Amino acid sequence: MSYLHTILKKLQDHSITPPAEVTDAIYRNIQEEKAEAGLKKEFEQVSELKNRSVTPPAFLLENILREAKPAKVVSFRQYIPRIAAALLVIAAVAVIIRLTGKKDVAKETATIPSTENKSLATDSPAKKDSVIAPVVLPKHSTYLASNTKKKIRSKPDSKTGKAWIDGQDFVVHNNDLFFSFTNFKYNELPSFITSESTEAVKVNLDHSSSITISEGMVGIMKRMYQQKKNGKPTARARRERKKLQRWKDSDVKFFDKHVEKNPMDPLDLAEFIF
Amino acid sequence: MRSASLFIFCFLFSVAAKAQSTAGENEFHQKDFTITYDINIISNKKKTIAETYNGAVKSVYVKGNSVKLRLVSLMRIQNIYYTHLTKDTSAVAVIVKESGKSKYKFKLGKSNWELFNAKYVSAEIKLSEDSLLLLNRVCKKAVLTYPNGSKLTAYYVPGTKNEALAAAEPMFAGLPGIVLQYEYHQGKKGILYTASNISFEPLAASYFTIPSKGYPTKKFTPGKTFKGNIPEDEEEEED
Repeated sequence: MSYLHTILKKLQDHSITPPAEVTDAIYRNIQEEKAEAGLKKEFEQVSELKNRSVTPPAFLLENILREAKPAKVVSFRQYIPRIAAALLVIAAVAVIIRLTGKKDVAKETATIPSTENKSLATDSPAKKDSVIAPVVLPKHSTYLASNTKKKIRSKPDSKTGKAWIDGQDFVVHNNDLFFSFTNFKYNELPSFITSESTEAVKVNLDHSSSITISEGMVGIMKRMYQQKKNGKPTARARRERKKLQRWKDSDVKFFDKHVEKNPMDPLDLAEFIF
Repeated sequence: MRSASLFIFCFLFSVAAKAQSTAGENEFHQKDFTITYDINIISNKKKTIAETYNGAVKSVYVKGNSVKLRLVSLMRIQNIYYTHLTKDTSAVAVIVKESGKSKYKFKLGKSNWELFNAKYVSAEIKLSEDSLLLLNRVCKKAVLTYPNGSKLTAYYVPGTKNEALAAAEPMFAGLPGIVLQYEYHQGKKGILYTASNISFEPLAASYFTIPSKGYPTKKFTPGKTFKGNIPEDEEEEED
C-alpha cells in the first residue's frame, strides 16, 4: 500500500514533454486565432466607418450652386432643315453630273453617225471600211484616242464591241474585226503582234462566239505593224497595209456589190479567195 | 451455248445501235440545236486573201421553223435568217451584213430565194458507204457534183434530216441527214468546214430577231454589179 502510494506520487510529478510538432501546431493555431481576432476587430472598426457620414459645411453647397450652369439642351429638330438642304445639294450635283455625262456621250457618238452618213453619200467605195495608217490618226483613231481619256458613265456605244485574246480585250468598231485589228495604235499593240510567236490566235467575241486568226494572218499583221527606229512604219509595213486595203475593197466589191454572192457558200467563197 | 450468247450479243448491239440512231434523229427533230463549224483554208500559200477567212466560224441555229446561219470571220460578219413554211412568202429569207460601216439587209421572197440557191438544184448527189466519226456520231459520205464540174464532199449523220435546215441550206437538201463536215476543192486548194460543237440547249427567240435600226433594206437584184454605192430601194419585190 505504501509502495502504491509512492508510485502514484511519483506519477503525479511525472511529465512528458509533448513532441515539437504538436507544440508548433498549437502555437500556429493560437497565432491564427489571434490574427483572425485582430482582423475581425479591424473589420468591425472599418464597418463602423462605412456607416459613418460627415455633413459638408454649408458654404461648400452654396459655392457649388453658384458655379453650376444649366446644361445646353440640343434638339435634333433644328438640324433637319440643314440636313435636308445638304441632301438636296448632293442630289442636284449627282443629277448634273449624270446629265453632263450623257451629253458628253451624245456628242462623242454623234460624230460617228454623221461621219457614216457623209461617207455613204459622197465617199468613194475605196474609202469605206478603209485600212487607215495609224500614224496619220484619222477620225476613228482620234475618237478612240480621246475616248480612252474620258470615262463614259452611260451605256456603252452600240457601235463598239469588244474582243478578247488571251484575256486582253480590244475595242471592235462596227463589228468590223478587220478594221479594228488593222488600226491599233502603236503604243497599244496586242501581245500577239509584239511577241515572237506566229502561232494562230483565238479571238473571243462573246460568251459563245470565237474565231481564229490563222498563222498566215498573224504573220501579215506583224509585218504591217513593223516600225523603224523613229517610230514610223517601215516600207514593208506600208506595202502590207496597202495590200490589206486592196483585200478589203475586193471583199466589198465581190460580196456587197454582187448581191447573189454568198460568203457562206463554199463555191462563192472559193471563187473569191482562190 | 456459244451460238446463243453470240446471238444475244448481236441482238443487244443492234438494239443499242438503233437506239442511238433513234436518239440522234429525235434530238435534231424535237429540240432546238446549234452546230458550230470551223472553217479552214487548205492552201500552201499563206500570204493570200484566203487567210482573212481562214479560222472563220459558221454557226447554224435551228428553232422549230426558224433557222439562222451566221458567218463570223475577220473580214465580215453576215447572217441569213430563214423562216420555213412561213405564210409571208415575200420574205422567206433575210440576208444581213452585220459588220463594217455599210451594214445592210436584203429580203428575199420565195422566188428570189430559189434564184439565190439555183446552182444547187442541178447538183448530182452520190451517196457512199464510207464513213467518218465526228463528234461521236457516225457520218456517211456523199459527193455532190455541180454543173461546172466542181465537187463537194460532205459527211452527214444518217436519219437526222431537219426540214427547216434543209430549206435554209438547199446545198444539202438532197442529203438524208445533217452535215457535220464538208469540203470543197479547187485543184490543190480547198475550204474545209468541220463541226466542232453540237448543242441542244434551248435557243432564245431573240437569236432569230432580224435587226432593223441601222440596217437599211437593199434591193435584191441578182446578176447586177453595182458601180459605186449599192442603191437603196425601199420598194420590196412582190412574188
